[in-house]
Amino acid sequence: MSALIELDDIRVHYTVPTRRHSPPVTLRALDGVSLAVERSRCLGVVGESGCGKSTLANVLVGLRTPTAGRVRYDGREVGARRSKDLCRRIQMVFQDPVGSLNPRRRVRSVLAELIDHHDLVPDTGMNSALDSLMEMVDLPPRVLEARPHELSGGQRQRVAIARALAVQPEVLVADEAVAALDVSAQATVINLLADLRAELGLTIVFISHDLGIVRTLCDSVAVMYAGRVVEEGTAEAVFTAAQHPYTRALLRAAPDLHRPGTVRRSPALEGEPAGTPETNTGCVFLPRCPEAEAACASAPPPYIGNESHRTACIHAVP
Amino acid sequence: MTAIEPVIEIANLTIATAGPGGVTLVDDVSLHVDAGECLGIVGESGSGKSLTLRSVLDLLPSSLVRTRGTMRFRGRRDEESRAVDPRELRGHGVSMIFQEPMSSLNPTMRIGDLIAAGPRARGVSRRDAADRALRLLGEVGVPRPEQRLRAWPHQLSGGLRQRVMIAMALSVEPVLLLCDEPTTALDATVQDQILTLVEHLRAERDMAMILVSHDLSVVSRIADRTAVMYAGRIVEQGPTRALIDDPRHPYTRGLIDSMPQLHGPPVRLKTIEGSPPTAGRLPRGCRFSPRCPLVVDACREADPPLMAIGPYRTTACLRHSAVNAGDQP
Repeated sequence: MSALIELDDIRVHYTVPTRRHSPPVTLRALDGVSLAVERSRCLGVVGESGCGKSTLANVLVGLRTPTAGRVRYDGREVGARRSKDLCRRIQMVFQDPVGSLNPRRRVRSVLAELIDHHDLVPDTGMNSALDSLMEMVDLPPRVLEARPHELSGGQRQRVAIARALAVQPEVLVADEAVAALDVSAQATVINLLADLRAELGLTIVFISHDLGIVRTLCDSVAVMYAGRVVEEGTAEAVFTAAQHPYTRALLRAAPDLHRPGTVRRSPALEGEPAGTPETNTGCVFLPRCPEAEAACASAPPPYIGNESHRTACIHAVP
Repeated sequence: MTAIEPVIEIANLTIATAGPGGVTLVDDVSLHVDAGECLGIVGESGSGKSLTLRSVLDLLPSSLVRTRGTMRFRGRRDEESRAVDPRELRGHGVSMIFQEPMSSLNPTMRIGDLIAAGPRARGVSRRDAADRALRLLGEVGVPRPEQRLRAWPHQLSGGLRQRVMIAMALSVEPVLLLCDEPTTALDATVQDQILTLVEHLRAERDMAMILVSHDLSVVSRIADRTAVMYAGRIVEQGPTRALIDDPRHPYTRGLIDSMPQLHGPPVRLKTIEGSPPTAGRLPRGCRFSPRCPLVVDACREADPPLMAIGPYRTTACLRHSAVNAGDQP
């Protein structure tokens, strides 16, 4: 089976002005990212601030045109201008529903406009379409008459998911979609996404900094650092047999509820995510890597492994 | 436990909105912290955890008032415990670190001056305060501290800013350090670094701490004892390990079960039905009763008080013995 979405060597470079009289700097937000997502699967993308995971989400939904590289959807190459139908098929759920829902409009009008725009149901069927949408995201029908500020954080995020689902998409790109929620609301939204995927056969790209959530929800994982995918594979392989020193550090750094009071002498990893460098001559993780050696500086490490688990580290064991 | 009095003891703290018909946001919270101990306070947004912490230094917004409550503070080991006004403690025994290291550092002051400000205000000479700032920057793990003294806050990364804030807090040699979501704004590996640093500093200086977080796993990493807050009240309190392994309030149980786990095979998350009540519109009886899987009629009659159920353990649940028994009513 060929993949539903294929990214091939995607690069997004930003030109950033610096001081006066100095040449502008090129930031490599994505620097050669290749990923494939199969239909009805859930891919988790993890990494720290500035690693390029949100840029990746923007490329997927077409908010950002890559500087170089190809995006293929359902076997067909996607150009810079997307058709209305393709836009409908790939939908995004943003982190902050307050910022992504119009505060002056009732939920009903927000959702109805979208359904109308894509001519998805006849006017007579609108009410029942909206009711079933509410049912799909576990909200009572009265929420349709509410404005966003009248809802709780968890309800608002459900509305944001309903907004994405209103146009019957095939792919949901969720960018930190539960990060702003309290633990109990977060759990219900995660379960909702899992159910939607099972019921509707949705393909989900779930972008998160929280490894626990990705472990719970996703079947495969891509770990990003400074614009590159440093490790990728099935969730099982990456979480139980992580190969890249960065993935291993991330796993060690996450506090574990069931091992309280684990006092450690030294942190899992020194330094801070440096964002995306101007030039990548060697491994992007080199400045923080505890296992770095001379060979790491000369060229970007190739991927070692196979389709179900590959790692961009020269120390990885195939 | 020795007969030595706790470093700080707060009794019956109640916080409400100012003006007539004030809405109670924190209701009758009592807690204490022993010397060198770390108390964690966990709760969701609106549970009153941050207000409780801020009231220790009288940092409540002007729209809120402390309507009830007393505070006793002991200070160093050789001191006697005495009733105090929160304002006395600022810079004198108690320091605080905040969530947002950018908005909490004065952007018009250099790092060195920020750290020296506390000691300077207490009469330390300019030179000694500068020396102390340099030494502290090194202690909190800022690389090349000599150069950083002259840097401005905006030139530092989030993790370094949080280290600077910790250095500021330590500059007045506190007996008690208050931490309000100290790592929430930070990346995972940086959070780990800051928690490791805080653990290390606490052990080295024999400092008591109160750590407030929405994340039980962060609290579980360093707190000796944990209090769980819900809708303005403490609903359960106990040694952290015991509380997590054997929770005795259905809300604590729900919090633990709804957290995604990193280790072991993936499982479907359990959820707590409904959402927390709005302040001022609390349900009758136990505040958790509308969401509680173990609720019985008695729960809806009166809000259960905190009851002692074991060594250092209290819970405000009538059905605490059923929380882990697995028997549904």
